[in-house]
Amino acid sequence: MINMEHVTKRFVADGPASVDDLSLVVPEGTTTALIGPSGCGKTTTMRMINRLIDPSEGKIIVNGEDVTKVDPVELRRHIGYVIQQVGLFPHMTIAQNIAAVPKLLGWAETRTKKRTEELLDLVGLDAGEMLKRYPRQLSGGQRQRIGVARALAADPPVLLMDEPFGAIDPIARTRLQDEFRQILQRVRKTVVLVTHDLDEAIRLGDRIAIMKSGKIVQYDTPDAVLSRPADAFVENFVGIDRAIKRLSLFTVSDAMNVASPRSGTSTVALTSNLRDALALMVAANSDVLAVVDESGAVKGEVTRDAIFAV
Amino acid sequence: MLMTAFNWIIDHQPEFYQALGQHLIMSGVSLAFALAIGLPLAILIINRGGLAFAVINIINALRTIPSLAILAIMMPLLGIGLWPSIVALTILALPPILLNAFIGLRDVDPDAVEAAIGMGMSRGQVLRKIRVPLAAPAMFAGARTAAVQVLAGATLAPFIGGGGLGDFIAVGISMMDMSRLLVGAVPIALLALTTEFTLGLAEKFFFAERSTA
Repeated sequence: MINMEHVTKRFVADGPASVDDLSLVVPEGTTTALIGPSGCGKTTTMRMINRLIDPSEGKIIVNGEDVTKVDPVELRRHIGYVIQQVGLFPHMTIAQNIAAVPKLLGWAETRTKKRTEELLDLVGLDAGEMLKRYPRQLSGGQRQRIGVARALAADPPVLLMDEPFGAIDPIARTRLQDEFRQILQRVRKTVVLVTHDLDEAIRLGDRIAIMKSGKIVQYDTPDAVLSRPADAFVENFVGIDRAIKRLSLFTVSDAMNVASPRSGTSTVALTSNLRDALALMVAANSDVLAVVDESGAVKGEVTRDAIFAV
Repeated sequence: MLMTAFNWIIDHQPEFYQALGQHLIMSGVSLAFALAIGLPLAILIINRGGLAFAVINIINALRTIPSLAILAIMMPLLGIGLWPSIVALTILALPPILLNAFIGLRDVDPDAVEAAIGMGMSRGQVLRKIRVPLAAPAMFAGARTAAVQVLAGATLAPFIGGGGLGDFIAVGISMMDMSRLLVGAVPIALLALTTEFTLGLAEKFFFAERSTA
């Protein structure tokens, strides 16, 4: 768990507060996305958690420990850290990169090796092929996967991610985000994610903290942020298409009737989200879609009214 | 004229090899000293802004002094002979080694440094495990430049009695004997070219894995 209490950061004494009396609780095993316009203090907030920046005032408790009372170097070894540019070490192989923190912690070689292979498997890369290669030989997406694997190497309870998918092309980004969400479901980490991409925040965050001028304007689930923006700033920030964005939080199975549709209606997969289902309806110029499972068997129907009622 | 020079070498082999040996020892020892001073100094100043500023400026000033002047200054300070020449050549070799190493250490990929600090490396570990290995190619390039400079600069050592292949050039000039001059000049040119070429190949070989696309 991460607990920030009345945290303020001024980079110059008596200057303006970059983070202003901010309080935030990230419950154990959940992901919080910090989002807001540039200069809102989201990155500063995150960097205070592993003390890359020291707070001017307030308290930050990570797993029951006040971070200002522990050695920052030791603290960081137990907090995973992923940055946009990944920052893989170009002179080390992939195996050495992933093993960096275990090595700092003095793990035995066999344990590190086993863990490295486990992690490559987790992020969907082939260990036999990857371990001996150098970062330059990898694609952007592969590098970011290695970055995530490296951050998870010593199994830290907390993970900080600074725009982790920002430098990846849009198609690969969506796939990587989906994979990452599945990884998180398996490893259960307390995650703070900084992003300026609302779709990313919706896709990955259990909660979204929308920030403005060093303060949190709204801290809520994606559903609540999109359906009940706290004020005009949030409403404007989440955009005019917030209702459509919100549909991506639900899958077809949430709105499906078991009634059997007329034959010949267009189909949608059971696992698709409602935003895609609506897009299919618009494309097919139809009020109803047949819902099919992986094998193609019809399971029921989803109607426009059902989607609108979500 | 080249043949005359070549024949002279064949006839005076002991004399030639002694001068060649002197030249190589003088250059090698100076280069070793310059590396032993320059590399640790670069590492020492990299995290100390004020000191770095002072050292870099002194070194830059040093760089503007012509090689001959550095050698000449040694004479009143240290007298004549091999050692004053070595000191002078060390001073000559120091700037490229130190500046390259410093810039290499300073300009290491900032993302790698950020990641290293973020994962819990101490300052010393960031230097040892990240900065120094990543700056190694720059350091090597500095040493390569310095090696060629020293080999060429050692030609001037005879002015303060340092010996080496430059002796033949000095004698050649004073006796207006062009073939004798070539006995010094051609081997020096060959030495410098070979060194540049070999070290260039070595650089490619050692640091190949990082540049593979």
